[in-house]
Amino acid sequence: MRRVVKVLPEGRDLKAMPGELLSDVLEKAGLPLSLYCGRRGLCGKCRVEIVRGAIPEADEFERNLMARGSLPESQRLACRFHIESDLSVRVPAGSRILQMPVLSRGTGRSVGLAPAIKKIRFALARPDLVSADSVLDSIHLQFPGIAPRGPSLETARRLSRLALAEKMPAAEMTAVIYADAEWLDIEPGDTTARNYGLAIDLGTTTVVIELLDLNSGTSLGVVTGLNAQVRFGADVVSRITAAYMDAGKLEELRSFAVAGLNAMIGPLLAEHRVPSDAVYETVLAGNTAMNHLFLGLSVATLAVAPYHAVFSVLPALPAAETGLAVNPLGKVYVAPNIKSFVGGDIAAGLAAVGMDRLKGNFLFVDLGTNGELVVKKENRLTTTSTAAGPAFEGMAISCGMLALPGAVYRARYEKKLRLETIGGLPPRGVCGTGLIDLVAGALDKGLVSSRGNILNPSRTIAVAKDVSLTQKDIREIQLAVAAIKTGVRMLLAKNRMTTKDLDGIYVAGAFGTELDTDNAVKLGLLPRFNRRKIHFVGNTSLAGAKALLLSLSERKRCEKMAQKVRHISLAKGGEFQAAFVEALEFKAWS
Amino acid sequence: MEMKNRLLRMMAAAIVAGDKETAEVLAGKALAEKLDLHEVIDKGYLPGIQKVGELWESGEYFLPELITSAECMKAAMAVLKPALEASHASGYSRGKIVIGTIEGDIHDIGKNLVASMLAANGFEVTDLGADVKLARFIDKAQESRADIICLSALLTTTMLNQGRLIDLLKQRGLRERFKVLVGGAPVTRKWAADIGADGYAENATSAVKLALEISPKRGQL
Repeated sequence: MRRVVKVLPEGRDLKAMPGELLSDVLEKAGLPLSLYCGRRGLCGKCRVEIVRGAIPEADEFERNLMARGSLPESQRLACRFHIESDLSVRVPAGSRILQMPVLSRGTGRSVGLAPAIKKIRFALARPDLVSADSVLDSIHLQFPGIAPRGPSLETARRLSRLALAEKMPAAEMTAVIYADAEWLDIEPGDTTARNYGLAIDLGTTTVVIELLDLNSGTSLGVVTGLNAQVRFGADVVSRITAAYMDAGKLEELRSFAVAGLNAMIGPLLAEHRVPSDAVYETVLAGNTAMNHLFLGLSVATLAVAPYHAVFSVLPALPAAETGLAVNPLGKVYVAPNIKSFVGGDIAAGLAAVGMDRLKGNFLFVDLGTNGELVVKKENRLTTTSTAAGPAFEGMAISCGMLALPGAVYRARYEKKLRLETIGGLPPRGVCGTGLIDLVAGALDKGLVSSRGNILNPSRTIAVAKDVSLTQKDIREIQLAVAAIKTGVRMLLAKNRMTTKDLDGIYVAGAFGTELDTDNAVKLGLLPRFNRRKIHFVGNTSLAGAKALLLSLSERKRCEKMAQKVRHISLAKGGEFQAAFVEALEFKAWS
Repeated sequence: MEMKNRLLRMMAAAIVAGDKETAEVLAGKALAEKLDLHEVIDKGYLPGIQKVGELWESGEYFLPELITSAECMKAAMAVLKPALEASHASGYSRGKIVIGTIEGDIHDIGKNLVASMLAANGFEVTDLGADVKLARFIDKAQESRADIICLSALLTTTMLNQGRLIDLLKQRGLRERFKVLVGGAPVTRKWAADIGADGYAENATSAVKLALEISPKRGQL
């Protein structure tokens, strides 16, 4: 007997089987909820109000959230709610995953155009009796100064059909060659004008895909979306855990990632009238876990210490084997992983800023749940990662949220508190940059001490109606800031450097682009530094993927960089703890 | 009497303030005045560290204060230790604990904090560090005749090893020999119950409370 779930405020009626999870029913109906903790009942982000119908007794997790004031009596967690009877539920905006504005731009250098894919047009002369060369031999003779391997049997079959079908004596054809070394395909006619590629930033949360014309290097279009794996949990560890505990889940995670990408690639190509067969190369950059999961590689070695990756550099892979909806005879190149959790997104980032070409000493910081840091001292690169936790993404904060419509992303204390929200909507939560502004402002106004104590008797900092920061929230921000600060200081110290030795700082990540530098310095997140030499470079994972797509030599340089970066682990040795505890104080440093 | 009470209050205050030098000086004074050292600990220093725990729970104190106070406590105990051992064979102990971050996990700041708070509260703590192999945990617990094993895990992946340790204890017929407490960011009360642990603590101060509740010694000598 089917049950009916009425969803408010839409008023839609959804059908459900008894015992089905409410979150699954909503998701199937195209109303995905924020399942931040991966249905573990811990984050409370998927709460819904039960307006009509039996409210089951709160379970242990729900009672915990209620005790903390994070869950009203009339609400339950959709990820734990098994439907038994007909219901009406109101899904608050804060529980929904909305279409997300994703940072699709990153600052990259312009790179010399030299893509791996080359299209060579030739006319196939009719063989004569005197020189009865085979079709293949006569084609090979037309490749200028290169001797690519191939073709594959599949391509040879196509060629045999084409050679017969095309009008002799001068059948025009186009060979598709990869890196001067591999003959991928043969196409009838002159197709040299159509050579396209995709650059993909596969983030844990968000995905950005850019379509490029490889003949001109110009960008034709960009799409953004969510990583379809989010249903397994928002953070990278929950994905690793899912795949680690159950090999079947690994394949599921892989196919979700691929299907999600294909669902974005299809419309992007259609919009620009590019047939999928015209895409012979794709470059994908993601963190270590994402690129492993995309390829269906086990993440067991990433799940437990000593946390190492299965691969650093992989050759470009046959597109057909990856499942991407592009030309199956094409190639998919995955940006190289550096070490353990410093992955292809960071290698791409280094390529985007051209770290190996810079003269002098530089720091590259990617601010995320894991803060990845790379320092360049003359010609030596050193990297580390530091667990900042999800506070900068607005998670683990009572009023925190991702940078979605309605999120406070800027705040300033004037006569009263002035807020700017994404989309100019009424504030419904605070995202990372808003948190930095609010805490820095509260510090200035004496509402919070440098030790992080909220000084007013209510022990909260009011932000807007139903939005306020608690003492625990401030503590989370202290932890996140201290993790980054300690990571930077220790990485510099290991290289016998201070910030004075740096010629510039690159700050990557969506968070960075909207960050108020003064406030970040005030809290100690960034060091005091010449403002003109702090470069907010945005989504360098995408910018780097583009560079690697447009230039084969950039790819080689990136591989070289990735392999020579020295990795240090901060967790080893007691120094980290002492430095970390000291860094918990909100204080500018240099 | 009046002086003794004043000293005891000053000891507590020194711990709360994180004033290591004063805490040590006061311990020396207790020795010089030949005060009953158990009273000094029970009514002087311990109330101080308990107050620190309360301030932590109310959000007033954070990690730096907690660590400083725990270090103060350690310094004061170091002054008292020789005399304590001379007068009582077993010194002063509320129970023996081995603690560590579980196999596969290298995160240890939270675990270090729990270890130092347990020590500050009168437990004899053996800290095995991070990425502690399951068998080593059990060997060390037997070797040190521990009452309690405390397991930390910071990842949902490594958390699984907490359950494996309990299974290994059962295999070796040692499950009843030790109490097992679990903690760490991804760990929940439900997880603790699922794997058959004896308790779960959310943070350092609740770990102390829990250890006091289940320790067979409860401060006896």
